[in-house]
Amino acid sequence: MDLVSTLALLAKGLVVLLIFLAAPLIFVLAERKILGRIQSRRGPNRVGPLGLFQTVADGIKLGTKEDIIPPAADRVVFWVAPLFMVIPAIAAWSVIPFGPMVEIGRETGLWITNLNVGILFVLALGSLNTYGPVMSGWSSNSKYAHFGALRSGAQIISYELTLGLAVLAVVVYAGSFSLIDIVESQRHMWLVAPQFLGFLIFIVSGVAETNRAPFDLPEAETEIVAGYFVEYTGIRFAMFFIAEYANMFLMSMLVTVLYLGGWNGFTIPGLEGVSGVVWTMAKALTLMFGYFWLRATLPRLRYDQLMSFCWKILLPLGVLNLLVASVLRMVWS
Amino acid sequence: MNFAAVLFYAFSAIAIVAALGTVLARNIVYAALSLVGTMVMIAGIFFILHADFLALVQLLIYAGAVGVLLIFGLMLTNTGQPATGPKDRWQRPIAFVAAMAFILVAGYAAVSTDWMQGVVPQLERVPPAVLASSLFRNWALPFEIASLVLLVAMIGAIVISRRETSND
Amino acid sequence: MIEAIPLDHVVLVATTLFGIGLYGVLSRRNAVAILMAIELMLNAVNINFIAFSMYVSPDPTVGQIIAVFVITVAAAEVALGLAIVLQIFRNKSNINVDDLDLLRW
Repeated sequence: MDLVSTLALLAKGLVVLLIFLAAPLIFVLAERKILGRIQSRRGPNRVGPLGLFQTVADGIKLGTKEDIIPPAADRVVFWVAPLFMVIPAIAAWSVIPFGPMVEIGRETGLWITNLNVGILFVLALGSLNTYGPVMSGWSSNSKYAHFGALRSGAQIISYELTLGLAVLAVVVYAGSFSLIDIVESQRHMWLVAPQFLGFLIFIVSGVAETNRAPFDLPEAETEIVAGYFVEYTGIRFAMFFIAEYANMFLMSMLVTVLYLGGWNGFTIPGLEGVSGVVWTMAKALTLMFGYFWLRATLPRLRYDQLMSFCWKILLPLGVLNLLVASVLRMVWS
Repeated sequence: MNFAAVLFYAFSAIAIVAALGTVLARNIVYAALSLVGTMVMIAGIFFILHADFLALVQLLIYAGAVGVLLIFGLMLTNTGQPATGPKDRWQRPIAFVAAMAFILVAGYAAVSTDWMQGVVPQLERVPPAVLASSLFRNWALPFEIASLVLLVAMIGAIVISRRETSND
Repeated sequence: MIEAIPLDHVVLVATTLFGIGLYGVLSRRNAVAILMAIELMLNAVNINFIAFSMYVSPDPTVGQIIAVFVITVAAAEVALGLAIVLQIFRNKSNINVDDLDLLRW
């Protein structure tokens, strides 16, 4: 590996890190604005023009607040638990492709690394996401946090199964675990067309994986206050927030890459790179809007409904979908 | 010494320290968390040994599912007692001797054997497709049996852990 | 890249981890802790399978596939083991293996 490609890798990593840190700032504001509009309110509009600096102000407030550790808490685990939320969330971005191969002095792809088992890497890091909630819930030594942790753990493990089944059908169609190959295989037809059932399963499981409404039982504020991170304050609380929004954006990018053709779209000749990034981002941001829309529209499920929906409806559908995809694939080739 | 070797020794050292934490920690949840640490480090070792697929399976199943299940088990069976009682004092030295004997004998055997005699190491990354075709062609029957084992284990776990209901 | 790592060292790491797991199985009294130590031993065995298949075996897929089977069995074992432990906890509100002496006379 020579100096130029090392520098290019560093630059790409820095860009992704910036996206990771800036995304929550933007999305929290966007969510509050959109929720406000849907509910016939204005949303935040005091800080800065149109309330644009609201999340910056909130961030400063969180950063300067006192970092309280409850006396009954397990100090060590309480300290490291937020890191276990953030690290898997950021590591997964290293295999997400933003755009096609481009010519910037030399041929380079708009992704950090092309792992030949890329999608498995994302799923594996997603399974490590269970530890943040479980560790923070256990270490807080509080009933609400404990309930939130148990709920979150069971929910993430259950919905990971259906998520994995949906992804397997995609892998059967694309014939590769690499996210870049999966996007390339959708040049002529987006996978959402032959895999519509898988697409629905993936979206539902993705919303459940990220603990968002209507599956936000681990942090249901009307039942268990804030669930597993009820005892956290200040900058550690902000870490849970950053991880949540980064995971939502990651899930949107995954849906884009797996089902909506990634960077594929109409391109202007000579500007494949730019238009590729624009396409990816446009699709992912539309999906983010879908997240906010869901939250404004649907009421929260009951916990037994959540579990039986996963095991009795989504899982059989996922197996069926995989079976049909494999048979079709065999007939074709 | 190159980059991969440095990483290998670092991962191995952390794995062994975390494994010691697993069997020695007084707080049982710390033991479970260090077990997860060991598993993640072993996934790293798999990566260095060019078994990418296995590394990720290790992360997904061991670190992701098994670790969380164990922590769940601990949370649900937490009685607040210390992990070790006074009864087992005499067992520790015997366990230590047995474990040390195993490590010394097997370690001596590992070091003194000339493993590489007449073998040209492959040391190639196996693509997932090659692994899959081997698994589904040469190993199809064991694969089916493994799926049956999983099914039986799943049904068994549900039946065993179900609460007895009085209305039947 | 991995030519710099001798096979002996990989096997030694696996042996050490297995030995530590053995100590855990013999010295722990909490049933879940014993399960954890068993997992440690199975993991150590997997390192050996992968190392040997990479360095020595003519077909590098064999060791990886056997490791997949080991992981399968380990997952089944943990699920069943925890189910049994939970049932014991319901009946005796304790999971210390020393107290499980119903079959002893």
